[in-house]
Formats: sequence, C-alpha cells, structure tokens
Amino acid sequence: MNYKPTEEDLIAYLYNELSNEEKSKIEQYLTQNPEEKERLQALQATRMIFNQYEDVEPPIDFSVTSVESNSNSTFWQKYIVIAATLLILFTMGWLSGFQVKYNSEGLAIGFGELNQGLTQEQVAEMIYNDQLELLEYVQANLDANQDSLRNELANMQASLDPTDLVKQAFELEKEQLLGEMNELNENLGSDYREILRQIVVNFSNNIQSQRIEDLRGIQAAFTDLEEATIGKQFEIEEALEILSERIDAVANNSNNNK
Amino acid sequence: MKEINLMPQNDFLVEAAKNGDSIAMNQLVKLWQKRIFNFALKYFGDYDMASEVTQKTFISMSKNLKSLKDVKVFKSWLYRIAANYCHEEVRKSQKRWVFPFMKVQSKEDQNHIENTLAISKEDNPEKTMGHLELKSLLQKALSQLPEEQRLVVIMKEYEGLKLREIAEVMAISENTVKSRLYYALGSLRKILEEWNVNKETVHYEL
Repeated sequence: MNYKPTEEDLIAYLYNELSNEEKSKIEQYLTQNPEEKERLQALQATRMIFNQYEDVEPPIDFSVTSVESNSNSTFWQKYIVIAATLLILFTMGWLSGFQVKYNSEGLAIGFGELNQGLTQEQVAEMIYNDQLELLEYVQANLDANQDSLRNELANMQASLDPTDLVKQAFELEKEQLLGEMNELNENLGSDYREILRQIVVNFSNNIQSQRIEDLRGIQAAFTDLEEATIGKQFEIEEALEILSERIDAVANNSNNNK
Repeated sequence: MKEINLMPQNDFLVEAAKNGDSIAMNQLVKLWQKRIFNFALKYFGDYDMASEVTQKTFISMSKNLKSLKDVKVFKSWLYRIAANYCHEEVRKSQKRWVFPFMKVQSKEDQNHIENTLAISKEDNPEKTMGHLELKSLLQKALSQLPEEQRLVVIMKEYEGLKLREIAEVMAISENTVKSRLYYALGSLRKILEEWNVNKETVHYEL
C-alpha cells in the first residue's frame, strides 16, 4: 500500500478530527508502520502530561459591571479632563480675544479685533510714501542749514572791524562777571550771613582773650625782670662796699708803710 | 482535551448581550473569564499579565460585541481578541526588556530546573514532583515554544478549540494550524525528554 498520511493528517487523527473513512485509513497505515505508531503514541503521551497542567481560578471577577464601571470611570475621567482642558483653553482664548483666521489672503493670528493684513501693493505704497517723506524732510533741513550759514557769513563780513569786536567782547565779559557777582551776593542769604557774623564774632572773641593772656604773660615777665634787676642792684652794692673796704685797707697799708 | 459544553447558553447570552442586555453581558463575562484568564496565564506564565489581558479582552468584548455579525463565531472572535492582546503585551514588554521565558538560554534554564528538582528531592523525598513543580515545569516548556506555536497548543490542548476555529482565530489556514501543532508537540516531547519528565516519573511521583 502506497498510502502515506501527511503530518497534518496525523495531527487531525491525533485530535480526532477526521471522518471515519480517513480515520480507518490512517489506523490501517499505523498498524503497518509500527514506528510511526510509536511516534504518534509518544506525542499522545506528551499531550497527557501537559494535560496535568490544570486551570486556576481567576484572582478577580472580570464581570462587566466591575469592568465597565472601572473602564467607564477611567474613560470618562479621561474625556472629562480633555473636555475641561479644551473648555479652559477656549475660555482663555475668548477672554483674551484670541483669533485665528485663514483664507486666500493668508493666515492671521491676533488678539481682539482681527484686521486683515495689508496687501503687498499697500505695503509697497506705504514704504514708498515713507521714503518720499524722509527725502523731503532731509531736503528741507539741508536748505535751512544753508540759509543760516549764509546769514552768519554775511554778519561776520559786516562787522569785520577788530577794535569794535574786542570792545564788544570785553563789555560782554564785564557784564557777565558783574552779573555773576551780584548773583553771588544775593545768593548769600541771611542765614549764611548770620553764620559768617558768628564766625567773625567768635574769631574776634578768641583774639581778645588771646591778647589778654599775652599781656599777662608780658606783665609777669616784666615783674620777673624787675625782681632780678633789684637783686642785681643789691649784689652790686654789696660788691661795691667790699671793694671800698678793700681799697681802704690797701690805702691804710700803704700809709703805714710810708 | 476539555470539551466545554456551554454553547446553547452561550449563544443565547451572546445574542442578548449584543442587543444591549447588560446582565447578559455580565453573565457572558462570568462564563468566559476563567477560560480567557487561563488562556492568557498559560501564554505568559504570569498572573498580572494574564489579569491585564483578561480585563482588556472583556472591555473590548463589551464595546465591540454589537459589531459581531454571526453569533456562531463568538468563541473564535473572543479568542482572537485575547490572542491579539497577548501579542501586544509581548511586543510592549519586548521593548522594555526580554522576557525570562523568551530568552534563548537552554543551558541555564536546564541547570535551573535541575537545581529546583534536586532541592525539592532533598526537601521532600516522598513527593518529589508535586503539582506546583510539574506545573512550573510545563509552563516553562510552553514558554520555550515560539509564540505562534504556543498559541496553537494552548488553544487546542487547554481551550479545546477545533482546528478550524484555531485557523479562524489566527487567520491562517487549517493546514498551517496542523503543521504548527505537529512541530509544537514534537518540541514539547523533546523538552520533556531532556528534563526526564515522562509518564512514569509523573505518575510515580504524583
């Protein structure tokens, strides 16, 4: 017999998912091929061992109420959070008047009234006008400067006399100086004057007392001198007496010797 | 293979839930939550991720059930949602880090398994391979399969989907489903052989 079942057929046989006809065909084949039968029996034994791996009870109840309430709450929480965020964003946008507009003329984003941007021609015209204005202003300034320069030149030419110029300058300086002095005088307010007066009085008082001290010193010096002079006078008188006595003695001696 | 005999009730509930009956929707979740959770658990081997995928699946179900045209394909439709979320989770986590069970490091894994076996033998010689050890071993073995093979095996072995239904869920041909199953079973057999897990050891030690 040339019939040889495929691996797939053998598996179907092993799991008893064959028609009776196919089944008997394979059984016949297996009796004729004991080594194939043995292999299949080994697989069957393996299945028997794996059949010892028994089911366990699930640790929790997954029934819909709990699942649904769980999932729903988390889903709803998620949606509520998203909705709240969007609401806050929209409210903030609305309060700040945030607007975005997009049309053929381009994208416009802004707060408050949204003005459509200027067209290219308008911008170009604005720039042109601005440049024109600037040019006119520069021109006018240049003209004014030129005029003033011309005037000054004319004035200088008119008053070319040097003595007059010097006099004029001198008078000017003098007036300025006088003015400054007057100003200074006026600036010295009554307070300032009082302080000055006080300083002067203090100073003079000091001088007075100093002078009296000095005079006393001089008087003392004179008294000392006087006393010293009198002392000297006595000394000289004494010395004169001694001298006269000695002279008398010498005179007597000489008289005796004669 | 576990045959799930809830079709008549299921179709009725699907129809009612489709028309906006929230109680029917609730009952539908209650009916399917164990299946979808265990489907995702075997896919990830992780309770948290399985819970997350289950929750997402039922949220999606309650939102999109109205758009389901044929009540008969509800089962494939539901598993497709779950499978998509599983795939999405893997993709997301691959961006973060590589999954422990996605790593290709058979040697280290083997050592780890040998170690755990050795320790458990010392701890409790009477009961070397309890349910927990076997379970984690089988989970580890499943985790070593490529994603598309793992999905097919789980749907076939634990969820009891027909080959045709798996093809519907994964939008592939029935033949592709069969060949993926063939290779997946072959790989699992090899893995168990390497770990010395067979009918005798399992039965003896259980």
